Amino acid sequence: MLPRDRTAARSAPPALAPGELRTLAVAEWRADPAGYQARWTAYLHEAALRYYLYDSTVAGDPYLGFDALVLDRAAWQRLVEATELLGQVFQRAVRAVQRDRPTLERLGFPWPVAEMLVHEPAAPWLSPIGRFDFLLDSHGEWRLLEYNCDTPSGVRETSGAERLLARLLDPRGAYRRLGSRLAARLRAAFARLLQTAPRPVRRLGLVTDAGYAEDLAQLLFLREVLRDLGPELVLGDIDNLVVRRGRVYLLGRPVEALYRLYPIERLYGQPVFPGLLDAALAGRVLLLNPIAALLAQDKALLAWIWAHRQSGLFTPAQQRAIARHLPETYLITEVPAELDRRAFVVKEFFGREGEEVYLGEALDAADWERCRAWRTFVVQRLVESQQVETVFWRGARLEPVRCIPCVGSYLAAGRWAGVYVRLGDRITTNRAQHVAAFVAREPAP
Amino acid sequence: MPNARALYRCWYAAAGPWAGFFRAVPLVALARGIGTLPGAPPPEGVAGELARVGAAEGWLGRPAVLLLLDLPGAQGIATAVGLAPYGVRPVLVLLRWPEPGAVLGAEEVLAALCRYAPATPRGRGRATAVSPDQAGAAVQYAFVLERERARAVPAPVLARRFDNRYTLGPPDLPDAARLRAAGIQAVVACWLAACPPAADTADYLEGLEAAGLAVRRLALPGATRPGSP
Repeated sequence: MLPRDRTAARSAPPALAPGELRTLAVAEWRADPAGYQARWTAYLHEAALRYYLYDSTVAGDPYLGFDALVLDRAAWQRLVEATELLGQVFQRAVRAVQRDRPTLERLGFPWPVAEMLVHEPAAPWLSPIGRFDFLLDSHGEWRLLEYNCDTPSGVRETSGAERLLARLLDPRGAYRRLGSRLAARLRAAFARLLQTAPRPVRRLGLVTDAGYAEDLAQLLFLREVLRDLGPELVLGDIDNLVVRRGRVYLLGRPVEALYRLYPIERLYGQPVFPGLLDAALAGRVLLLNPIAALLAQDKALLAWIWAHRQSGLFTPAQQRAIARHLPETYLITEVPAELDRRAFVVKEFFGREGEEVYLGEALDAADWERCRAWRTFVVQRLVESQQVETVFWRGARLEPVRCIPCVGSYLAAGRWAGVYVRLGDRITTNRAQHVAAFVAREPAP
Repeated sequence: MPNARALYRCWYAAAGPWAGFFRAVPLVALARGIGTLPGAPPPEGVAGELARVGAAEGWLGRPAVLLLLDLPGAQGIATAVGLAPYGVRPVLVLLRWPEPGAVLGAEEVLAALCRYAPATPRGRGRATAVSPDQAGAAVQYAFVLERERARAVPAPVLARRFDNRYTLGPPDLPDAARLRAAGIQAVVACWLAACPPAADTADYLEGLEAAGLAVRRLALPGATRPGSP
């Protein structure tokens, strides 16, 4: 059993100012450090045993924080609106670029993959689930950092761990947690995409590199979420995936649809890749996260959207969403001559988990020229985010830290689906700490 | 029937200050209703042989020396627990997911996790030795890996059986700075002579040496079972 907080507030939580962010747990830690640590440890155990979060530490330090970020209702509603509008924007942008070989190559796709993209069937959505990562800037505006559309993580945390945190940190139910709908919306998105398969789906393959604890655990959780979906679920390692005579087999069993929690850029180098794509193009297998999902995730597409922000491709509402939420972004090869790089961040097209992201102010002229020569970088205006205080566990010590909340907002089948928050440094890496996302309940009439 | 949740907490508590590196994935699976309950008794460890060498070389029971057991998983568990009388406590780093029909079975590891579970501070769980720190003695920690994680498997087998092998990466084991901060001055890594260390272990040890930590590599002559790596 998880110990409940006996020091829980007995009155309604203090109201947030518009656009304000707040965390919940620092006061509890200050009041009772030993009790707080014990509750944190109990939480880690439960998260491991119930939600497959057995990989809840990174290099010995907890990745699952024992805290929650509270949004005010207006900020949450703006986040929902931004997520759904930007979902439409990315869908339109991908469909426009997908048939344009020269642009695809300019955005970092090797020509064989660009060729496949041109012919790839277009499903109603880019993938079952995507996640827009935002910062809330000092003016209370959500500013988009990137779109994780290919293999977004965090579902275990948002759907599972957050449920535990709500019980532990908010026993009186003063807040509404924001991840409560994620599992249902994810399941619905899978169901609707499977209906578009060119042939009936008797088996759905779920594939990952099982040698990576985090990826396997995410897929195990997903298997539980999709348990009653209909098709038989076959979970396998990438080494268990075979294509024979145009049919796709996982663990020796034919699958008619495949969801991959394995970066497609890594799959590109595997012997199974050409056969898998041939099978998809021939309608023998439905790839639930096709190559188009990687195009949506390509940071070069952010630059393309910025350049086309006033194009007739987008509706007026979508144009407003781009102007409001997307920071100014350029391909590094196309930056204006007068650009002051100290006010920008440099990001590799396909970098994941904060890899190959550099603050412009930290780049010297030689580094800058190297990035320009490599070509596969974008330059995005730095967002000055709000900061919050939380508790980090470093070695045997707990300490308060001011950090930046990176707010991931899920989109499933075109609808907002939940929030995944990590508290970290100016660049969010795997050393950031997950916390729950809450919003204050509406006061009773 | 063993209580997977209670076992998980017992083993976690045993890891002490190294709990941040603790992984007992077979017990998570058992808690989720996946994995075969142990039938046959687990294999014996090689604690006797290791203790003899450790006593002769003077590192056994010294808290400043970390042990790294890259043995077949069940044997590693038995060995670490067998060293408890010398003040050794286990830190499990077991990432094997026991999917039915997988390349690596988990029966022996689960049997060892049940049979050798350390006592909890309140005396629950199956006691095999007095917890040294409870007795006021210094504690030496042993990271327990499972050598099977890097077993070679032919492609036809991989086409039909779930591949639950894995590689340990930098976040899975403490780096030299972390070890030094915890007062560790040397690492003794041991394996069976018949099963040389996995590549990830070899890389890890080289990294520690490059960072200036003393590393003793120890190949033990213990027997392996059929199907061992």
